[in-house]
Amino acid sequence: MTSFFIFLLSFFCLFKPITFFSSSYIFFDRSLFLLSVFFIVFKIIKNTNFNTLSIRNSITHDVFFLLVFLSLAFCFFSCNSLIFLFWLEICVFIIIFLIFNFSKDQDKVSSTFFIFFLNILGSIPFILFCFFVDTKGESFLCRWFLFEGLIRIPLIFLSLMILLFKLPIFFSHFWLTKAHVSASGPLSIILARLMLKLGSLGLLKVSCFSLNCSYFFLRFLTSVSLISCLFFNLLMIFFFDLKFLVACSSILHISLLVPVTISSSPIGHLSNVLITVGHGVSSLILFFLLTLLYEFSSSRSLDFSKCQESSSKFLGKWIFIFRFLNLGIPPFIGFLRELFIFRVLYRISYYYCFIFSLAILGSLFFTILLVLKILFGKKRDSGDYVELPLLHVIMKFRFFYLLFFCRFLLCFYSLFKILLCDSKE
Amino acid sequence: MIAKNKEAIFIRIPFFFFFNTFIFLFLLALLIFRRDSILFRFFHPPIFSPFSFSFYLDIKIIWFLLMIFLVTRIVCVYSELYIEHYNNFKFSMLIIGFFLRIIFLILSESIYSLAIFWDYLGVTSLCLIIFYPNKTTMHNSFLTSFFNRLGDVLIVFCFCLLLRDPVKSFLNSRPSLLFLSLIFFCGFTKRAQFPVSSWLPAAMSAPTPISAIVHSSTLVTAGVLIYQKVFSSLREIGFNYGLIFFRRITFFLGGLIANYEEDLKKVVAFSTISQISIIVVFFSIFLYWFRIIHIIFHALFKTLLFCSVGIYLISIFGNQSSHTLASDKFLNLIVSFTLIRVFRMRGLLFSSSFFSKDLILEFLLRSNSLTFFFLVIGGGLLTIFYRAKILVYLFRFPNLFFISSHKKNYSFFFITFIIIRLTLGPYVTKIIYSSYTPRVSLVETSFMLLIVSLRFLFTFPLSKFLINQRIDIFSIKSSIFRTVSSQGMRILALDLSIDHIIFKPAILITKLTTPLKSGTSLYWVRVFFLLTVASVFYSNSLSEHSIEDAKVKEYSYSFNLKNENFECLNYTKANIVKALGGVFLSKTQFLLEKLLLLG
Repeated sequence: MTSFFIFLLSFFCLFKPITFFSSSYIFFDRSLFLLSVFFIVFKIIKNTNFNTLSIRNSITHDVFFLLVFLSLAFCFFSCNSLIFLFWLEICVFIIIFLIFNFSKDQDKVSSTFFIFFLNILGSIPFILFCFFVDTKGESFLCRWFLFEGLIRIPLIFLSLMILLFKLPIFFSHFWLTKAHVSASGPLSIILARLMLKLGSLGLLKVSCFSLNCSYFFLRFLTSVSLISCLFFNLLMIFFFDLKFLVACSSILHISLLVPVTISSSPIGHLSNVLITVGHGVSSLILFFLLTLLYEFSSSRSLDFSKCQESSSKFLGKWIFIFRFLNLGIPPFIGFLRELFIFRVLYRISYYYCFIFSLAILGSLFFTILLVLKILFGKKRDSGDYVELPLLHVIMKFRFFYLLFFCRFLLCFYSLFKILLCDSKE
Repeated sequence: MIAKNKEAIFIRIPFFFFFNTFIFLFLLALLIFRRDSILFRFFHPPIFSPFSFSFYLDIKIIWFLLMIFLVTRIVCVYSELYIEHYNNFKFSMLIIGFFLRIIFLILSESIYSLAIFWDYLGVTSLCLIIFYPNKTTMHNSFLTSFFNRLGDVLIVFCFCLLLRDPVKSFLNSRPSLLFLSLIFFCGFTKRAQFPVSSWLPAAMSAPTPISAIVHSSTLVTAGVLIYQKVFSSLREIGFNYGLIFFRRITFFLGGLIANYEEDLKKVVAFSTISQISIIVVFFSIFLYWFRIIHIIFHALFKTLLFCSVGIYLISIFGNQSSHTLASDKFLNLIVSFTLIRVFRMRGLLFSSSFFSKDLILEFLLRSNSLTFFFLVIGGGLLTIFYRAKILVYLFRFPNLFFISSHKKNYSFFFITFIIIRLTLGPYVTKIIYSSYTPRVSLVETSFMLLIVSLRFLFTFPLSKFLINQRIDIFSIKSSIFRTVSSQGMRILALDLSIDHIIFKPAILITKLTTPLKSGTSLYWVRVFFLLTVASVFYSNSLSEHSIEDAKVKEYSYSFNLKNENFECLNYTKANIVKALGGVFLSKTQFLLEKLLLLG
């Protein structure tokens, strides 16, 4: 089975990679890196059976999971905006199907509704955008047929709303949190790792349009994203569902993508890549660890899962490491991410830098809270709680080191790219 | 109980790892013998960018490394005695990690490496505080990490500005005001200055050896180091004006809160806060060697203070509230001995820190505004008060419910301490001389060694006096357990009569606050000193003249400069000599002038 997927991935490599407008700066195709998650996810599916209903053992689940992956792959490798939308919607519908049929959550209906509604709300203007904008060959080259005059700018941004929904902007983030809570572990991994990146990818493709646009939307969106950062920093102290917390942290990091990409600078481009890849790696591992916890302690609450320093050192160690990597420890991506966001925000206005610094300060709260609550505490009597079987863990142990190393490498790689390209504006 | 189980290996390995400190540093000095400095450059980009990862080794940096090696060595020995041996692997790994990170921070030349290790220091300090996981440590770790994060954020902001203008990352360029102000406030966080100083007493919930390394000497000097790396190539006096307010307020506040604090370790923490605000004065005086040396001495004193306080805490099973403190005659004789000596090093004549501390205090007292003047005086007084407080608490005779600890072999610990104290003082002062004068005479060094050895004669009877008088003075029925008692002040007058000949304002105010009978012998001692002090004050206010020939050679990284604007060194030692007279004190003048003059 795994060999088949390797073959598939290699087959996808034959497609031409996506060329952006400023493609000379990046030739690292992050989509392959992100899509390589599928092996891990499939192994998790085989071994975990607590998150979903007993119907999970059916073939439909596996097939639809494959279809999610395929649709996402086609989404990533699409060159036309219409095809992008097509596969995006297919992916969304499949996810809705999976959540609706195979999840144990009480609120799955509302979560599916949220996804569905926001998708539809954004897709119709995007279709208009696709038809009015002439695409030629590889890239989203544009010709202004009907978008003349002052109406151009708002229409563009309204048509690109779907991307902003997929990349969760503050007031449309609800679908993500609900989806993560409702979905099973591997599905949430795929959600976090791939679905959110579609929004960023789409934004990159259409970032050329922002060159001619005013600063109004830029400033509006930056303020919204910064408000979301501050809000989530404070909000996450009060909640106890681990998946919800990780989803909120992902929203926090990804919402900063918007001002960065729309600023249409090479640093923005690079920081987009850094944010997405970094978030992908950390979210993968965090969700994986949470699914492990959920499997073996049958609860996702923060107050219940504690004392991992003594009961399962594996979990404690890796949760600690990856939460702190999310914060921003220097040689890794988090530091560069923060740095470049600072740089871009400084370009827009230096007031935003101070607010962003507040947000970074506040991000410490929930990370430390989470880490301390998980690591420390009185050990429970070993009645319900079962220790992790080690074989199950060792199989995936190598992936952790690989991914960690990859993350480390990527920071140097990105530095290399920075040095080669001119970092000034 | 010395560790005899398997866990002992993890404690003893670090000790042997740090055993060969002087050898290592000697080798490093040999490396630098031919060249003035060494620069390691990993990942140096061809284009101007702040992402260079480079390290720099100089004779001045070797002094910092010496401090850290010594401190860790002392603490490794101490931790073998102090720590309960159930998780030594974690402990030793944390200490080694912290040690390596602080070393790389000291060695780092580029801001990128500095930022890396700065962040790592914050994370490791968090881990160290959570060594004993309970509720209070969790809260306190939260506080410390918050303030550390503040510094990290400011560094990231600085990096952003460097990205904008990459030429700023070089030494010769002139950074912008925003950049400088950011680093200015960044140092505040690590160094626990006035607005962001609450994390240091909270961090006392870490084990005592860890607080001895971290919160006395290394972490708080990181805030000083960043100033050194950024501001050393600048000659801005405006920097001083920015610091004045915060410096003096921390100096005062540290003492004020320490006076009312009941937890002994927190008293020591507040003392570090106040003393480090003094260290920063050296950045405005531009005297490099004094800076390093004062930092080194302060670090040693503080570690030893923490260790000796910790020995008392063992008897009450690590409970840091001082209500249950008690002392045993035989156990704590040596410890009290060391404690008193540690306190008196702060300003004793011809001790290690005399030269630097006295200079600083003179400089601090020079101001046109009365508020700052009284702040400094008050702060100086309060240092005495909290020192007395500690001594009073520790010499309290035990009640019936005294629990004695099992006997531990502290001899090795104290031998190392004594050796270090004896060797460092004259050696370092010799270095001071040699940097400013080409030759040093044997007479002066021998004189200094004599004084250093004579100190023991002063301290031993004093401690004996304190311990023997314990029962009579600190009776259970006296109502002043929590504050400094009047009888304690009498003892302090003795202490002062030996030590603080130059610490003028404290003497004045002790007289004002304590009641006295005219018949006692101490009264006349105090009167004598008051007269001298009054004369000094009067003479100071009348005639202020600068030592015109005072020029100091300042060695920066890359070029020599001569500093001509030295208003800060309007020094009035000549007046003291006139007031007190005598060959003994003229010698001080002679030596000090020699310090300040060019060779």
